[in-house]
Amino acid sequence: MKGKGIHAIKDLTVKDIERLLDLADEYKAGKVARKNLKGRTVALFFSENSTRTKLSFTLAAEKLGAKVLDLNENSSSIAKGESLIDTAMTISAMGADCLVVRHRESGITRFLQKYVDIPIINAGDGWSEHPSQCLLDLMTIREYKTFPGLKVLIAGDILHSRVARSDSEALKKMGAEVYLTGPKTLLPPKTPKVPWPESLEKTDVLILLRLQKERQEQGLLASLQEYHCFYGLTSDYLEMMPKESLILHPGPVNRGVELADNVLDNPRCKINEQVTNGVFMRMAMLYTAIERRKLVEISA
Amino acid sequence: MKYLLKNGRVWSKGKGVKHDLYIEGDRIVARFGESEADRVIDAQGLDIFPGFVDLHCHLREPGFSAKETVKTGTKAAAKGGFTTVLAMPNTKPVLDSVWEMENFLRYLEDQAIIRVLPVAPLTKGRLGREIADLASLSTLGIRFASDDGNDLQSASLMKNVLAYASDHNYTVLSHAEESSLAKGYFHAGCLTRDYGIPGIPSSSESVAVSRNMLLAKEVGAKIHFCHLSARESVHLIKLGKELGINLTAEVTPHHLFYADSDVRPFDTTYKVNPPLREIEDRNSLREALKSGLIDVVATDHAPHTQKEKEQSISEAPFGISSIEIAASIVHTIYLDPKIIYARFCEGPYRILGEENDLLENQKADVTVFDSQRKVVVNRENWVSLGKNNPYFGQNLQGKVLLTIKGGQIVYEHS
Repeated sequence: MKGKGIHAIKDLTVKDIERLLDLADEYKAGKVARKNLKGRTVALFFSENSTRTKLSFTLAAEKLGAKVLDLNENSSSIAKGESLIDTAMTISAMGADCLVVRHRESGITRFLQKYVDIPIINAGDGWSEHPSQCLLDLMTIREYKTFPGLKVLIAGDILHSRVARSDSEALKKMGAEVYLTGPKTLLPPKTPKVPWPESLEKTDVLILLRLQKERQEQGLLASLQEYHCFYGLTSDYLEMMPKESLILHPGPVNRGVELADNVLDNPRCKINEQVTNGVFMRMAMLYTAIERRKLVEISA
Repeated sequence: MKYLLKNGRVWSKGKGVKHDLYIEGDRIVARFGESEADRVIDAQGLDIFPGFVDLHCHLREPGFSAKETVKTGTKAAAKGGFTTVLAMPNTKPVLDSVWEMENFLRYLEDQAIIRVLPVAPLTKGRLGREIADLASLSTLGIRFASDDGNDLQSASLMKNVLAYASDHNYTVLSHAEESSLAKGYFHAGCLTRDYGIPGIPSSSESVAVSRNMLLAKEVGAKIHFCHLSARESVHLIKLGKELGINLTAEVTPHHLFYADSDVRPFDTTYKVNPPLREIEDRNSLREALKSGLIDVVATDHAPHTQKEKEQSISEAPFGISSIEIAASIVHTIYLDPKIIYARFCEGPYRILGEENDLLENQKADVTVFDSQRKVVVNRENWVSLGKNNPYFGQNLQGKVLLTIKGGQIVYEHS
């Protein structure tokens, strides 16, 4: 690795995670003045559709006083590895301070980091990791719960979910118990699952995953309706869960698929807070990647 | 030239016996006076094997000479102790006509320092549609056919190809793969689960092994299974042999040496097809090779350029280049020269339908091996153009010191 970035929860220590959570809390409390990125430039390269994550990073950078360079290249030519290296090297040579990358291929940000000095932040790579989503999930959970012994259930398309991978890694590191469930076609190999909905009775935090509509065409599901009936969160199922339990979802929600419309209005559903916290967490990640590079020790 | 190999342990008919070996011209001879020898080689403490045979390598010509050439590939093979290799047909163009194959055979005569047996494609252009000119190609002495990486997805075409090929005494080399299951980069197991990498499940191989061996049985064809990687395939090979199917099987050094737990995440040097599977698979392969259920070690030597391998996990090509250290890798696992003899010599010669027991009048294809020597795999003296392998820096035991092809020294350790 040439430079250091934030590529994967797997690379972070508990201390790294706690520092990021604390800094995001500071930003949320309105303490921005000294820890800013004035005069810095953050480049965004998103080769996969993601309005929300991209907006969130943009807002985060702007709140810190950084300039945002949007490499709005959706063409497949630039999305290939070799042209991606060229793009990253060019951005680095031009003096950008950080590159935020979203790409459909697992491991791509580590791959790019071999070629550039500026830190790269992984904004979602294939099925592999989604550190910013994970950390904002942890931030949201920490506002209500403590991690040791916390029972977290992640439900849905585990196989294709970078959120599930990052979340379970981080939550386990922080001392939580993580359980997985979903249709067998959407579970990775060697992954034990817990029964749904029975497991809801003991679940403190339920993280629902977004179901991509193409899973039906790919022959992994019968229909979205059937998915909803068997793995969707209805108000009846919500009733089964402990009173203080929380519902999270990385968004955007497919209403009537992962969860019923009326569940969204329940105060235990923290989806909007996740979105709010996302900006503060991304501020913390940008600041850490650029100004505290030595603090995030990334193992190559 | 006359060579005298003194005091080595000469492997013949299943046993290593200490005696002197005399080579004159391109043949093994009974004896001659020591003073007549052009060179006397002290083989004290060394094993003298019939020249190794690799039933599976990629020499990349024509078409991909940046990866490897016949010259560099056979030089690397000679360093690995091989005196005969089978060259896979995934070339550009695919040599599927007599005219092209004749040209290539002439090119081999000029460039190859050991014997290269080209493998014919099963279908024209390896496109999986029409049967290649296998009858005509057999008149050039071609005896093996394979579509290599493109296993025929249509079972009925595979059946017909097996029948047609067997009519002309081919052994079909089967890269068993059900491609609809093989959409990934590494073994579908803990590694791909933890890192979110599209995985290749063992079933992508085992269902194709099962299909292809049953088709071969039905039409009475000879089939040889390439680079087995999964323990289920080993079970199927056992079943196939019990059913009396005319089948043989190979395993590569890397599937014997590594498991997916050894793979560094996202490191494309370990990206190989079939993928490195689980410890249980590796152990099952080791056991099967030892017992002879798997007949031979074949390298699947697959050289690529550094530039190609240094791409992202989806873009980097599959393959490991290790022909020049194959016997060292296998010997490090078993530490038994008898295994080297059985799986690099006896097994492959049987599949070739040839005899080489280092007996009088046989062709002098000879490999001298030091089973005690410790080596560190070193990039500096790597011969193949393909530097793509995970072994650099690895400590191994056993080293080929001398390779003689048709009475000529084609490799000598300096």
